[in-house]
Amino acid sequence: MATVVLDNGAYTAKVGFCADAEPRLIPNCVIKAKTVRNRVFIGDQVDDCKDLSGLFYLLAFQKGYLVNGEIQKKVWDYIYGKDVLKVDFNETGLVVTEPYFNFTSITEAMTEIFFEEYQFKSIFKCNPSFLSQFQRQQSQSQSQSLCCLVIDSGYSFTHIIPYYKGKKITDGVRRINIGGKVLTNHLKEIISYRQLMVMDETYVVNQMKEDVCYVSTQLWRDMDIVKKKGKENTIVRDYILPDYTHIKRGYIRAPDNENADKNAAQQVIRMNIERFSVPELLFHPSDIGLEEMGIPEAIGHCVSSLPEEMQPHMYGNIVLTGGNCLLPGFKTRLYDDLRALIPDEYDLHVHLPENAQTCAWQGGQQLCKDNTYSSLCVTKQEYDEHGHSICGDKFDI
Amino acid sequence: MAAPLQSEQQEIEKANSNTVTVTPAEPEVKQMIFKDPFFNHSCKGIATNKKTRVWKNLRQIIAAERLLPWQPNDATYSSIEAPPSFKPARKYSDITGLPAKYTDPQTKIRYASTEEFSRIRMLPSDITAGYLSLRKANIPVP
Repeated sequence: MATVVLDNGAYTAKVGFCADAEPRLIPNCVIKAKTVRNRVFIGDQVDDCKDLSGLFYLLAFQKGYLVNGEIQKKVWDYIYGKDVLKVDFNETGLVVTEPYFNFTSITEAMTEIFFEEYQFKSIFKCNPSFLSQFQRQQSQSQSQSLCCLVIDSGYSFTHIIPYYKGKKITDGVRRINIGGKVLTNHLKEIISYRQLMVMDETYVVNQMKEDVCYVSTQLWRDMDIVKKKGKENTIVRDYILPDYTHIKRGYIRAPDNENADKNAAQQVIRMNIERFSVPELLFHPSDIGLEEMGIPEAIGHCVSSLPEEMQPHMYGNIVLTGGNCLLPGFKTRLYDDLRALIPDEYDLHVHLPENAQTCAWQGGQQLCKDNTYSSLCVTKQEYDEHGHSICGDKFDI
Repeated sequence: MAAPLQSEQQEIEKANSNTVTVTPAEPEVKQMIFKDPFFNHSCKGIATNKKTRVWKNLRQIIAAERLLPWQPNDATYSSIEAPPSFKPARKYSDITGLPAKYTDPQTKIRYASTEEFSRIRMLPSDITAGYLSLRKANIPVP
């Protein structure tokens, strides 16, 4: 039986058959373009669009939870349909992720859609961090650790989830309301106030964030560098914005040919302190007036709420997952901040998977090859007999 | 005496034969009598696409969840939010983003140097309000 693994993120859906090597990354939204009036783009159809300026997103998720089923249905129809996966529903199982503490009404609606409208043969639902920690446990085969602390920093928010023997400790979960969306929006706002109006260019600014932003590992030193002028300032970068006639995608101007490009009519954004002050929000949400702990402090808060015997093991096995962990320097900074925060005698190990974004998908792939998988999932017959209650019993959402 | 004995034996045989026939039929007994084997759920078939589901928005969902009978120690969406930090918030200049030592008493904008200060005083009030809203500091003091 083929199994589809779907890590249904609020911004990017990671999807593929469990036999595939890599998942396909498909924007989990319907996009309208300013220049193309007669059609909408579903998921990665946006690649067909020539002019990506002024894109308008219709997202199925709001603050990390599925609230617009019609849009989600369009994206799912596209994913399962002939253009992407060509799923034969009656012969296919599904592994799908759901947000943490998903609301009952949403969970039930999702189950209904999968079983009754698509008619999948079997379903397994879990949180993305479950798959990430499963992947982690599989990779360290000789010395399996009982505890695992997953930091899932995604598009809508960042969660800290402690796992003990593969079970989520619900009381320990902490949420920080900062994710990739807040970072992109903040970057958009400060650029619009300081340099150039880009409030409508979410897509371009998001690309810019991915290209130039990084997590500072020495904040105060970097703060001093950005004050300097000329050659001494090693942080400043000039980012050339795309105009979608000659330049198809924004890029960083090489520092040495600064004069060569100057005569061309390009729109340039000078990224200086913005490069690291934006991702800094993950560590200090108070910078934008959000009264919450940053990631390292929240980890400390989470772990201190757990039984004392568990605490050193949690610090010894921290796994990063989610798109924000791809920011350069994220792991080092988190390690440094945590090391300063926790007792000296505790071992600290922070693990950044090869690709933090698709880590959960890889975990799902390994899970459906595992012998225990068939006992974990709910089949269509079971669902028809017991309804939602069996899903509530079997899945740990 | 013989006749009733026979009839008794017959009854016993009957009973035996009953039990014999019942055992293989046991799975059919589990077939619940009130279930129509030909029942077809309305959501299956052509009607599927027509089914309209009501999607509540997030505020309604959260409000509905709050009303459920939770125990004080239960972890819910509202209770897992990270608490405020123990460290004081850092202050950065609203204009350049550098660490700011000063706050303009008139506009409440933070600034790091004299050049910035001279610019602040030239800004129109809607821009200063916009700068403050970036760090959610624009709530007017009553």
